[in-house]
Amino acid sequence: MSIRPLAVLGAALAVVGTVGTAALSRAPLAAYPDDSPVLRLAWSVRPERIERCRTLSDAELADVPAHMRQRVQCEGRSAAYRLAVTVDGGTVVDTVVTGGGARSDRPVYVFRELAIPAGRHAVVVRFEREPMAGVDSTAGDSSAVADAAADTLMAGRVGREAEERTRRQGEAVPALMELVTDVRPLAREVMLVTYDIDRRALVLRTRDDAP
Amino acid sequence: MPAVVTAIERACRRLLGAADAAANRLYGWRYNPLYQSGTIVVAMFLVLIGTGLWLLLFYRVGDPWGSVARLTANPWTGNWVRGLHRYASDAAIVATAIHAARMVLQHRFWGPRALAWFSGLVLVGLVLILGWTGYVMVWDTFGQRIAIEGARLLDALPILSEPVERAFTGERALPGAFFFLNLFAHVALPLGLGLVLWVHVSRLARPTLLPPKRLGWTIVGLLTAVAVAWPLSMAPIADPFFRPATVPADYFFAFWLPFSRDIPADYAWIGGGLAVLALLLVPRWNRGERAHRPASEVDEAICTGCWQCFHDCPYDAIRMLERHDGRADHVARVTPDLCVSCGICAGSCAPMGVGPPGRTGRDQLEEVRSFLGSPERVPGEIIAITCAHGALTSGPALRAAGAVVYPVDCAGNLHSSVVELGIRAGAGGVLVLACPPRDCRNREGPKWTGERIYHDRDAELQARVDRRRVALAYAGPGEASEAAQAVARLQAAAAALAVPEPDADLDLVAACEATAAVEAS
Repeated sequence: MSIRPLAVLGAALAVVGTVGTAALSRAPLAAYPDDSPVLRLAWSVRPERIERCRTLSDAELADVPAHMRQRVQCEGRSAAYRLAVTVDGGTVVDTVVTGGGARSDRPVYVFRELAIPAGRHAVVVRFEREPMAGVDSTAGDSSAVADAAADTLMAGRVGREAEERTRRQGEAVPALMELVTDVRPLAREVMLVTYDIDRRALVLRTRDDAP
Repeated sequence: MPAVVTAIERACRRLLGAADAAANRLYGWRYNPLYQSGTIVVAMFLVLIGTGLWLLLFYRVGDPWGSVARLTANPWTGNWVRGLHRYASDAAIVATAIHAARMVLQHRFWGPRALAWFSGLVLVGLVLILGWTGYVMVWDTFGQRIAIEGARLLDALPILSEPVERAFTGERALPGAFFFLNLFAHVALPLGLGLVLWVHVSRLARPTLLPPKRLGWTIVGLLTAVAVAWPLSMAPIADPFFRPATVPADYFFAFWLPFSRDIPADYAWIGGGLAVLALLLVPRWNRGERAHRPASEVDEAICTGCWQCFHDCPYDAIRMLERHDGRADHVARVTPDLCVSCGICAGSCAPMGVGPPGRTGRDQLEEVRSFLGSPERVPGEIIAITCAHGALTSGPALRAAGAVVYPVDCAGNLHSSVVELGIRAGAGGVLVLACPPRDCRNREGPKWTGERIYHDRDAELQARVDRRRVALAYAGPGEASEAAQAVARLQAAAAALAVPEPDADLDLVAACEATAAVEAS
């Protein structure tokens, strides 16, 4: 049986095509061309809600439908925060961040990757609530307000409202957080600055203490 | 269409013709992988399902990289299956690209066929997402890189309250739920793929879904051989605290990464959106003149209700309705919304009562009569009937070989009476040069033409025609030498016969009507 040259060429082309496909399937791709270490700022926190509160009189409360009656009525907005980062004394980030969503009342999400040279650096990360004019969350103290009669739907409502406001404030991020640290990253290493919810503070994490 | 686009398209079409011709020489038209690109994708899909089900048995959402690493370390039942799974997906992408390019260059997606184009784009999108989920499943450095880039792009859209990117920052360990969702998508998407594939071929009367067995198994064998001979290795496990310089990437699924990673996500979406929009508009700006041709029509006074056009139509555009005028039980009716004016029905109707206006069997006879009546015709010459999509490009070679060229719109439209009239007019032989069957613009033209000439399929070439003077050969664009060889073969056969006597006495239209009436009764 003779072997046709075209058949050999066809088989060779098929093999080359298949091997080429396999080669392109595992070819090296430049993932991160820059070999600098990176200081990654990543956290998500609930912004503090800054409110102007007012205690409603009995007459005002009577005008509101029964299921919507709240003795202390608060209006306000979520706080904005200034994020400032300095490396060896030089400012590399200075910006204001707000919560997500159309009303900025969703959590504040911070994600920045800052390339820094390998070696020792003094890093300061500061996250501070921006001052907000015209709002006062201490107004509307309801402690002096008499609670409704024990046999009505409104019984204990005043206390529950106060509790709810306190809980919400506790969930919010502190008004000021500052991380002052020295870092010594290697090439391509990522150092993470994040929010520790238990310590309610910014912390530095590396591969060694990753969760 | 701008002149520059037309010029580029013409150059690409010439390139495709040359590639087709080369592949035909190497593998023969039956096994030409370029012709079978669409069916190869489906075959690879089946391979992916088979190998994927096997890999699924060993995958653990709680230990994604570890479970894949164990699988990869097993040369008997792990590594090569994983390799085949990966290479089959890559081969599917290559075949998809070839298939789409063919359809664009051959203008095969306007009108009713636009549905195939749009559903094809959806299929490509689903396949790319499937590939993305597949690589993220492994959770090596490549999986992490495309996950981060995908999250970055996704977060640019105002649809999620919490950024997806946050999952990959290292703040907390990646939850098993992430890998479970990813696995679920990777397993569920193929179901959607099957559904869209059904839509993709829904406008075809007889879709061909799989390549010839020999070709299909050869491709699977080659991919398996490479998977065994060149085993896959594991890339390092994903690490949010380290940025690798390079990752071993599958360029078939990560081709977008080098383009998107260095630009803002908004720009990447705008660029991607414009690319998708351009692809969606392809059927609009690339229709060509043929898109404006009218749908086929049925002359109900001639229709004998034989059902042949119904059987032959490649797009299910012909219905048979009951008839109550005593002429026949049924009458053919064309659905214009489904008709692409391919003209296959014109060749299938013995009494020549159906076809696109100006291209019915009767119109064809009129045209060929005027061609044969030309004083340039010489008794005994070979007439090469060439398909406009294929062998017509071989005109100079055919003339050099001594044939006279008679171009037709599609060899599948050709009514057999045209061949008979050529012989009766004194031609030494009639050579029908059709496109290779898997490359017919009208899907089944060469197949039906062959059956009409050699196997008595309606409307068959009548027994009174001397078959020694008739030949059917396949030649695509760029196959001039094959076309010339077919002429030489027919010349040699005709040379052994006596010089034909012109015989134009027979009224072919009447003869065809009489034959059809007899067959219908």
